[in-house]
Amino acid sequence: MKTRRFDPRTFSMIMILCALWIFFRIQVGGFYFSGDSVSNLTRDMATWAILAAGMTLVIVAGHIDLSVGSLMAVVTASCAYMLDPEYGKGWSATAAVPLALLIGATIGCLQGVLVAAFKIPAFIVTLGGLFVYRGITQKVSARDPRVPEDSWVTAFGFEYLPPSAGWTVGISVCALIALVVAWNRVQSRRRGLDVESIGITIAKAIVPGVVILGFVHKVNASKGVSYQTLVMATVLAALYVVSRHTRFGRHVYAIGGNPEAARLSGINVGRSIVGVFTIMGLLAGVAGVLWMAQNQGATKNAGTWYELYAIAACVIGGASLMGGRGTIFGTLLGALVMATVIQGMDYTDLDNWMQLVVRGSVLVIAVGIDIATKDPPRWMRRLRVERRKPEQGDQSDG
Amino acid sequence: MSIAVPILRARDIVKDFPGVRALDAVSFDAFAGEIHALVGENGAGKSTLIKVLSGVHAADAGAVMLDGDRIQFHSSQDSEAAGIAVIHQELALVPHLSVGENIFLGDEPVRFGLVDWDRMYHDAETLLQRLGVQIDCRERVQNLSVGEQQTVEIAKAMHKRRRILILDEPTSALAQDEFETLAALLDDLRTQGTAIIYISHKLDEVLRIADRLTVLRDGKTVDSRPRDTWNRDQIVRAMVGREIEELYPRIEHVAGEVRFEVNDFCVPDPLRPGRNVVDHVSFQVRAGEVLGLAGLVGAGRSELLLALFGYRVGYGRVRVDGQGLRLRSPRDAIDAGLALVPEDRKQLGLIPSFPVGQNLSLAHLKQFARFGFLNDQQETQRCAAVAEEFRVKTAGLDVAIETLSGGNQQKVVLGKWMLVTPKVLFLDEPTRGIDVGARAEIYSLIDDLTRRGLAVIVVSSELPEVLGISDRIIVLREGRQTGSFSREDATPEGVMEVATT
Repeated sequence: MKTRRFDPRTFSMIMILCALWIFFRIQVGGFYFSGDSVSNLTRDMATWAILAAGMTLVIVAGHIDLSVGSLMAVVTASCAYMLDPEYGKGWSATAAVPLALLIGATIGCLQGVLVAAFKIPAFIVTLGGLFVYRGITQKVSARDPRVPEDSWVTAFGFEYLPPSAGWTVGISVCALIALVVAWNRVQSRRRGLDVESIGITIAKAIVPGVVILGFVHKVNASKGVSYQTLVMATVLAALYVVSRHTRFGRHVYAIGGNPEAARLSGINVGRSIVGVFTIMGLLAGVAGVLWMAQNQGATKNAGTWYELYAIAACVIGGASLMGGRGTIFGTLLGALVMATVIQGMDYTDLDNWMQLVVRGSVLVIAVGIDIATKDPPRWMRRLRVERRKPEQGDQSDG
Repeated sequence: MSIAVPILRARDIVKDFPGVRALDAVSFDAFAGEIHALVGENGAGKSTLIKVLSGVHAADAGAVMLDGDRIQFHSSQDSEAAGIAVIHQELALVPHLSVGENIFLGDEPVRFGLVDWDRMYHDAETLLQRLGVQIDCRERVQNLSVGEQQTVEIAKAMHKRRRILILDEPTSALAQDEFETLAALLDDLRTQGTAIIYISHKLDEVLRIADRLTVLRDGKTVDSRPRDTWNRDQIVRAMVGREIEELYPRIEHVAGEVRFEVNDFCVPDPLRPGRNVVDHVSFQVRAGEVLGLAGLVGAGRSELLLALFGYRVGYGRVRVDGQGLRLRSPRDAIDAGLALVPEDRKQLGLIPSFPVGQNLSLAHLKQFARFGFLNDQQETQRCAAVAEEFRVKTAGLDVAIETLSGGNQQKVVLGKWMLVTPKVLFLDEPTRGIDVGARAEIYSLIDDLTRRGLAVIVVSSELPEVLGISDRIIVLREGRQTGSFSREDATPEGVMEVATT
């Protein structure tokens, strides 16, 4: 279906993001917008932004997954264990990585079955999972398995696309976007549907392109596009398409909006829920392999609190914990806000304890602003009404 | 019975809802020591009147007087403070607290800042004894029968010294012997001077316990007289006596082959194991025919439709065009060519977070999907066509569904099944909460679809509607089929007669 009109919420998110960037630019100085800085920002957020993408589907479906940090750690640990020649199996990455992804997807699928078929609330299932997987992680990674340096998987921790390849990828993506936008316009016209003005179509084709190419230009000034960033972008793009343009995605939104009406419309609710949790598990696997590559091995504390970063990114990005609302694009913005705050505080040498305080406050304030503008609580609304017409009391009968 | 001063008196109450006048100059008195029964069809305005008397709704005109003084309730708390207690069909007890705790909820006896449990249970016991019932007041409420729970609610009202007791359909969930207990209890309260307003469909019960009877119809008081001057027939006539408005297209349908066939269909009651909400019902519907399912609220009509649609569990043989069906889920029903417009649009019909277009396409997304990917343009085109055909008034397909009026929302719920023309269409209360203009449109849409050869089954609690649009009518009472009428011999009185006990 046609994209909704421009969302004022998205606009305010972008404004908040820009404000944060300007603030940190002033605080940190010229280094802040350098290629290195931008590259680091998108590289460091990759693991949990991938989790956040899957979490968006889970939250839209009206559920929650508290286990993703631990689940990611299990995959990290078991993958490293399979690779490590000294304490582990010493298998090649070509065998170990697919197997590790399969472990993630299988565990996710099992969680989905517990939620859908046994009707155990997702909160409980995944809270249990959070402990269980962390326990297993401690056992598997007891000897801190290492990834051999000659394994191809380490590229995902340290390699960058050479500038020319970066440009090639960037330009291809831009061309693809422009092509899809144009194709949609042609199709709409052919079917006699209302077509938006040509200016909007051109903007739709060009604005994402400018952002992408600008990004490529910036990071090419440093080392180029990192593999982590590339994986994150691929995952986000894939989930964008799944959520927006597939039957499965539509079903997930319908279930989150009203599960009973969805069932009465012939949607197999249980199967969709299992699908959502399986995707979440698979993405936890992807994030786990990335984390392992970045750190050249596993530790028992991998991915601590990542579930909370992921949930925070979704919620800042506009996903409703009641289900039915949330977008991948919003989550990307939310993740950027979180990442910007985390990185900015690192640069300004804020104490560790203070960083935690600020991260938490950012989450609450961002959501608070959203609710105050969209659906203010009664007392707030009354303040506003009374300011406008002071003598009129509350006449509603509840 | 002693006719004293009216405690509560309503004068010329008017209440408008968007598109309908729910109450039109209704007057009503409640005297101390009297049971005043309020009867009327579904939608006659009984519930609205109760809501006005108990402060849930504010009247648009007219006055409510308590002990002769004009009062204005702003909320149900106000009316409670004035001594009015309403006991609803759905009981308002906390199930995992004890009987005593429920009775004293909100004003627990306190000693040194702590709850005085001994006194609470002692007082609760005394109170229950005074009411002449035997219930252990330390028992959790969830372990009590529905009748006992009701008694607890009444005890709670008495504890709070309420002088006016309003019972809304108190016996709809009660067995016969439980009714006897309730009747005895109400009799006691009457002699103690409580004013009781008793709302029920069950005319035999009303005739047995009431001192005075008021009949409402279409938001107006038809008649209000002492019990002795009424008999059953007179009540039925007063309830339904009106001409069927010319709202319904009176075009004869030409019925074809048998399209839809149901044999010995039962729907078990999830709350009472071993009992059925729908009990061995059998019927046939032909292509191009409208079958009306009449009956009172709670007769099992909605349950029957939902079970036939695979949404809830049901047993029996169901055939579409002679083909037997296995109904494990709504998907099976949809694939077999069934469609259901549910009674509760908000709960079952619509996805509130979806725009109009996505609500229309939801049940038939497969049409627009290739390898699971949706073709947006094809979807938009098809939905736009359906929206136009079903005369949905909307600013566009990407408009939030909640911004549409009730009638237009209903057209969306109806239209979403027409992306693929179904064979059988179930309509559960198709015009509930819809204004008169949109109603006529819905009726003519139903008529169009019938003439296209669909078999249509309509459930409606409004007798004129069932009589107006159906070619044939079957009547359910407490899950059983108690009558069957052709269009010619269906009269409101005849249908009401077999629908009530």
